[in-house]
Amino acid sequence: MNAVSSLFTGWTITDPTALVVLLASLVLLIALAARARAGHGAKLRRIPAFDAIKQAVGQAAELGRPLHVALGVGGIGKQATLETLAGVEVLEYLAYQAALCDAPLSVSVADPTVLPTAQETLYRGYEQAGYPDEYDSRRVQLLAPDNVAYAAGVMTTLHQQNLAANVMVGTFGDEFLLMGETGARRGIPQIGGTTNPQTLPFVYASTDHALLGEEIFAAGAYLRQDRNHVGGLMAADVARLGILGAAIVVIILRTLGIL
Amino acid sequence: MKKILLSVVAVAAAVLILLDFFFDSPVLDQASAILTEGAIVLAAFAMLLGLFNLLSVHATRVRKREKGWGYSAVLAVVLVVMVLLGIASPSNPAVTWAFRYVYSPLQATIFSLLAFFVASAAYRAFRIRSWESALFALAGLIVLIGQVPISRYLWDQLPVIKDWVLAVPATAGARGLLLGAAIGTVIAGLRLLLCMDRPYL
Repeated sequence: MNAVSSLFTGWTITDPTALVVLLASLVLLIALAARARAGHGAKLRRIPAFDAIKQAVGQAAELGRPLHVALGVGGIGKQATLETLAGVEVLEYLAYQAALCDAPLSVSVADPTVLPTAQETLYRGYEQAGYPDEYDSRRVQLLAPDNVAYAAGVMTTLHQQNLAANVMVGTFGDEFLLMGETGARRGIPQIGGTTNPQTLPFVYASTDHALLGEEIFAAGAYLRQDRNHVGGLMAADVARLGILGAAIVVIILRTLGIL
Repeated sequence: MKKILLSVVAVAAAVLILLDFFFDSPVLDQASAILTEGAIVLAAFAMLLGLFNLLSVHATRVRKREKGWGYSAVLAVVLVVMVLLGIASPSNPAVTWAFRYVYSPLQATIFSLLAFFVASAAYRAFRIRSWESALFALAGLIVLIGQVPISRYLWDQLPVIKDWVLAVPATAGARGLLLGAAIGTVIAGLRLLLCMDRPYL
């Protein structure tokens, strides 16, 4: 008993506000995910980029041309882990659909930590579709753990392969434009998405459909109709409204000189 | 059973790291340091896996004489040579030379293309297809012309409008995006913590 209590001696909270926000978000997510699972999920607004992702597989199968997915320059276990996993979520959907339709799919990654995840996701797609033997691990290619070299590698893929569509979702910097413009000049239908506000103008300018900011985290809800993900979107909306309300209250209090 | 075990390990590691972020404690510091070291070792193994993947992909291209197989051959040879030189001595002058006089200029060359790509992307984006494109084009033109010193001679209010566009709507939009992305990130992280998403399985 003493050993257990000694483990907890000397604990001091470093950031109580952040802890409260996190716990409130946790409660919100649990409650709204349960509500969505019970069939009371919110009606999702239309996001054209997700419609385009769904159509891309069909086009690839019809045209007999490959699909390409770029998962960005982020890694797993680093700051951009969740953006990278959002790209993996899109890959999961595309891998399954591509396996069903017999549409070839290639994936480009920049960070070695994403390679096994992308390979496993691709394999799972083929396995779930009932064609595990069709899986080829070389379809997932590590290009280079450097932004510019990665962009150069993707540009080569866009030039050499007669692609049906190019999907780029994950963490990207200015190098996005090098890839996006190459695809646009070659007339490849493109869908791009990232959370970096400095990259978003490049995404908007060079792709046909853009996933802006937090929209990249909605892939599970839109593509797989996962009820937990729908609950997550509802929780994010409630949190956003809460922050907006708090901001308005603070503005009023400051204006009145109370705060 | 394997799935449950993996989930328990993943969630326990995530909770420990989170606790270390929110609480100051010697026990948590130690546990977090061990986990971080483990992650570094795993990342090193992933780098090895990446190396084998690169060699496997390009060796296949060379073997099958696919289009551009010559480039793949060069890449594989350079990769092996650089790895061997780096293992022999990380501060090898040959490695430093290759980075300084081959890699850096190549990197700069590719990045310099960005200027031309910005021009063609701007042309495409400024074509007015919808009211969003019209706003995009208008904001872009105001900032573009407002940045040029001659703009104050065209209309003295133009630099003022440019500053307002950058300080008010552009900053508000960027902050909105950042806030939305931050909330989305927190919820996505919590989904992982609650095992609603299990990409590690």
